Amino acid sequence: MDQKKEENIDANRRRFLKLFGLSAGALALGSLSAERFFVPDTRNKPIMSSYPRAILVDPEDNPILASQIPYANESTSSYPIMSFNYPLQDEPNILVRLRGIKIPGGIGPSGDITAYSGICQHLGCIVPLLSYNPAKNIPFEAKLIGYTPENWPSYGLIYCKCHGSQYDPTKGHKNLYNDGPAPSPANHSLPQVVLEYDSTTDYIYAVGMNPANAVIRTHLWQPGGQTYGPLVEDENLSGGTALTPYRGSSTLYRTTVVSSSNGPWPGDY
Amino acid sequence: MKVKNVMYAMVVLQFVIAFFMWYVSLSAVHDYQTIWTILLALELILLSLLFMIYLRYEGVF
Amino acid sequence: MEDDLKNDYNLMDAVKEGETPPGSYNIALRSVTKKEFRLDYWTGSFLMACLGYLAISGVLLFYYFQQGNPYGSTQEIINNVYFGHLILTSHLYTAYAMVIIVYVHMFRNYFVGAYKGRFRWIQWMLGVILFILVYVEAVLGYLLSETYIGVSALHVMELLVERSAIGRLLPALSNWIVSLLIGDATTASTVGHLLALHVAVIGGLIVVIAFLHFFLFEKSGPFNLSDRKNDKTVKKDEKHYPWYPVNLIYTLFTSFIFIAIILIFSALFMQILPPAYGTLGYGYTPFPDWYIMPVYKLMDLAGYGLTTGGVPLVTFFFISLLFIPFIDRYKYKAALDRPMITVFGVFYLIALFIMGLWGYSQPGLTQTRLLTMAMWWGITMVSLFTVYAMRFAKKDLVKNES
Repeated sequence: MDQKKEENIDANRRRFLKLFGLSAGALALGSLSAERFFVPDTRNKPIMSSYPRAILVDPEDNPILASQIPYANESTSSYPIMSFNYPLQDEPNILVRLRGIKIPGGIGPSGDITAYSGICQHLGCIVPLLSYNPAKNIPFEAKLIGYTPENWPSYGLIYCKCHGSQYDPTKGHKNLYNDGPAPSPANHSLPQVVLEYDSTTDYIYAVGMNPANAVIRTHLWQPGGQTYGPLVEDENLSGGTALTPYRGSSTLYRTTVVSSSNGPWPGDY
Repeated sequence: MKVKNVMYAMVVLQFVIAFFMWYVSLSAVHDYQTIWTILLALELILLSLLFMIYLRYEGVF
Repeated sequence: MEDDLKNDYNLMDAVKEGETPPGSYNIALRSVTKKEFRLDYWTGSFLMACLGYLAISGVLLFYYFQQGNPYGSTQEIINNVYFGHLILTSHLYTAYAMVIIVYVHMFRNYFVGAYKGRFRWIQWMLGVILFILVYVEAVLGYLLSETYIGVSALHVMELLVERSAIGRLLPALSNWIVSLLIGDATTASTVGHLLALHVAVIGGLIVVIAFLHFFLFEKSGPFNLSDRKNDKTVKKDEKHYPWYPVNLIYTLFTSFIFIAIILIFSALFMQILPPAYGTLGYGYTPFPDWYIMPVYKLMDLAGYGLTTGGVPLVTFFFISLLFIPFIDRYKYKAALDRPMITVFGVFYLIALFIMGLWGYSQPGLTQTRLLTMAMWWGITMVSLFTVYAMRFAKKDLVKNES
């Protein structure tokens, strides 16, 4: 009699646990659909429909003149780090001017001014960990992987100290450099900023990113990591804050060029 | 008891340190944070030592 | 007045034995014997002390930290808040101490075999989870002030997820994981998420799991206690000291001395904040904090692409640690009676040091496969030979004595 009673209690309890477990499981399964909470509506949505047109200004809000930009050549040993944010405020770029060579996509009277994304294409280290090192100034980290004055390129390299990625600024949008003693861990070139030069005023405008090139690294979203196409423009324009308008204009934005203390516009980007 | 005297002396010392902690904080002398922190550390150590002595006295150690 | 309507002002009656009604759990902490009062038995209590101090100093920092101005408000705390520099520095150094003692605690329990036994296996697994959570918490805290190295680290974390196998096969999932961390990636959203994660989510998880871990410890007792039934040096009726007041005093006041030592370090070596994100200067180093350095250097090791190099190695490290109670099939507890397990432990210990030191001397340097293999095999040989040499020596000693 007692044994039967014990079996009864066991079966009841077992049934209860089964039902309860299934019910809790169904509740959990249904509730998981709230996962959308964690992905904001604004994630990966471009905040403007096309690249903004931005005038490059100095920290005092006066447009910079192309002639003010310092240049580097094959004998430079010290070059200021110059940076401006484009196309969004969270995306620094490196401004370079290399005299004596025509850079593909370069602008200015001699076609020697250009800018590249300041976010390394490997794992996203930013300026100044990624910066342009001129001809006569090999960084310590580059020496560690085997660079000597003999094999350091004639115009130097944009070198990332974090993991040793190398980019050749003389090559325009195809700047990934793998001809050194150690290959670059990055597998895309740095995106190149499309600049525009106004020869009457000597002003410089940033008007887009080179469409033949890679998406800015911290905006990788598409599965394969699209390197060109309209999706790239959408990705580059999402995940950040827009630039500020220039003197109240509705069509022209401003981006401030800042430099290290040995350059013409010391400040923070 | 010699040990009891030591323990009372430690508590008196703690009050003296407490006074100096107030002084340093209110007067905000140069580098007050360093001095105040070291005084606080001394207080904590004295308090701990006091109770270690008590435990030894009780035969735990 | 009836007896049960009268107030009882002697609160110690509430914890008296036999007072709890049937069917309830009696929450009481273990008594200890004299032999347990040695510092290596109390690494766990030092961790609790660190946690407590971090919570208190964290709340004090929280008063003045501004989400919309992370670097600026951190500078304000250092320069303009009374005792701000001290609170920030001691918060940082206590976090460092916590990471160090987590390693000491983990390796101590690993080498004595404290994961073997009734509930000790789950205690160990909760402990490894705590280890991971402490690392995550430390990294999140570091990212809060938006220094140049913090922002670079944040980008690295995002891209490691997006470039990983998950990112390639299930981009929606990797997008979801990254959104957990940074929201829609604007600065305001990012710092807000990091702050919520650091203060509430991970911090809360650590507290809850640490208490589970602690109560499991209370159930199992200090390791080696059960062994001592066979220990001939133990007296028959050893005196047990109640947790209140003896044990409580011991734990509280060793913790106070521990905090005092950290405070002295904080006073003498005040923290210098790295430069902000956005500053352009020379000589910026790509060094993460010391506890990340082994992982940073591990990423430099050549595999066959990132899917077989650093990230899987780190994952393998954590998974092998997590399942040690099941991997270890030895029937003994002493370190030298479980030689292969001890070999792995020694290997990890040596590897951690070497990777860390190497990271400092050769930053940003990708290694060749040859050098990587030479290093791993070298450390393996050293661990194998030393442990087995000690084991054979011990066996010889035991044989000669008997």
